[in-house]
Amino acid sequence: MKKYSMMKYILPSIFGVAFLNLVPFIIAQKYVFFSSGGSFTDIFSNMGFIISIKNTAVFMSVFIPLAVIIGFVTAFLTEYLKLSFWVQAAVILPITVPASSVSGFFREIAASSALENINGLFIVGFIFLWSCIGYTYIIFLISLKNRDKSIEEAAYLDGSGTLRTIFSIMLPLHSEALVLAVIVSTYNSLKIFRMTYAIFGEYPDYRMFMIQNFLHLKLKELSLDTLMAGADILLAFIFILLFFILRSGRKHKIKMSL
Amino acid sequence: MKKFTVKLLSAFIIIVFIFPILYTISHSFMDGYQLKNNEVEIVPEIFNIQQYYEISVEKNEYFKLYINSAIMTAGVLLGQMIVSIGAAYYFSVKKSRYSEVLFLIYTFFMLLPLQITLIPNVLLYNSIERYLGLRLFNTQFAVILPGVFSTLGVFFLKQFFESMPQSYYEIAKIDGASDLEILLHVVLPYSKNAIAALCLLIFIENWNLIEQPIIFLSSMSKMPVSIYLNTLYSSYREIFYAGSVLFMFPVIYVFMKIRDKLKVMVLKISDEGR
Repeated sequence: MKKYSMMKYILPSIFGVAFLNLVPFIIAQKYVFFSSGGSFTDIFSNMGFIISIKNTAVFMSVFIPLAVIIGFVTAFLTEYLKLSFWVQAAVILPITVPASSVSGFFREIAASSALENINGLFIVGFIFLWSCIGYTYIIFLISLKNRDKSIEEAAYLDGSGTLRTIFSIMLPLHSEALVLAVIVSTYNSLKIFRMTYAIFGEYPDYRMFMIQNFLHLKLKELSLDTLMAGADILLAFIFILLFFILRSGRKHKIKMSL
Repeated sequence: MKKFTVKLLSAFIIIVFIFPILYTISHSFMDGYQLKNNEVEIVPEIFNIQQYYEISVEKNEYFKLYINSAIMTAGVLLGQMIVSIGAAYYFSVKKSRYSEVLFLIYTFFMLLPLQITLIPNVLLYNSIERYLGLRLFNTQFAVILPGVFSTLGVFFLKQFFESMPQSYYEIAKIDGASDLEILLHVVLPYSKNAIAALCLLIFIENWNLIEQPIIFLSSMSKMPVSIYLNTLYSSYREIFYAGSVLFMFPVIYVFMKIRDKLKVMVLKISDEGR
């Protein structure tokens, strides 16, 4: 009896997660693997799916690194130039602001004639950066506040320049923060649907049509074959990404201890 | 000279990040005429509070939906807090191979975008309707339920519960405290800053509901403000900006309120890293 006394604390959570997420999702695999037509071959001939995958790939490979870099640079400047509290508050504030409440501003920017010829994906990317840099900024700021200053000083004394110090000393030292920043930015980039919906509506321009939009429309139609095949592909992608990020994080740690 | 550059840089960063918010606030004081001419202007020609008057007196459905938003946010906040505190307590105390695998599954679920986690929810609601005859679609309960079991809170709190020195736990145990007493009188008071931070996180996330209501709800009277604002922009732009300001006000207010608690938490994390 004693052995299971802690179980009661987690039971509600397990029940909820199992019945709301895990079990229905596993059962729904029948639409992919036991359906009459091949869902996976179908989905790759689906024009909307191909476009959405392409856009998502471009978006992630451009804007996740940007979010991490800008977050790091801002945190670096804050820490080394001792920027005021108001700078910190201003960078963090956008993560609290609801998408719909600033959608007016972004709609007008997107509609303005100056941006007519710019690819919609980059407007979405800009909005993503604005709303999510706060997270990477906090992560790097905590990590930087926490560092052992003597290592940098030793590097400077040994004649290493600022850039050299950043790349050879600081980035490896903060690799844990770097991994966390990449994970959080990836998570946020998958949540960008909220912003595109608030600003461009349910059917955005095809250039900003991403995998989330595709899944959303399929869920609304309840066309389960395509939906589950698409969801499985995205799921596998996230799984692989997580695996590689965690592995590279571990590698860095080993390097550091050597 | 250097001081001046630093000031300039600070001002630049602040303006870049605050600008969309300032723009919204300044537009909430413009009259309909100025809003209609489609140029990007920042300063209101005439400062007036017509928009706020109209939204509170003439279009009072705004406040009904505001209450919807509040109900859904409060439901998720309360439910997720209770469920996650229990689960995080379990994960922080119980260390076995099973609990580690389970926690990994929780972490994975946390990372999934809503477009994936909504699928099983819809399937579950469909089968409940088919087999039990209970219609969950178009009720606010359907929106609240998945939020309560979101694993974000568990992930977040577990890290913090674990940072508590093991000796606190052991001393309480020796004094004869039960698991529940330890949770209520030792673990929770120790992590009250983390709990405040999590409350803020859940609040931000759910005040800004978009994905769930457009899937689960169909009648406008049950929607949260976030969806209503979207339709307002095209139909009544004269009052859209006032609606936006009123909508973002609670989040910014709460953020400013618990700012100090967050600062303490950040310092605490830094201390432990040392």
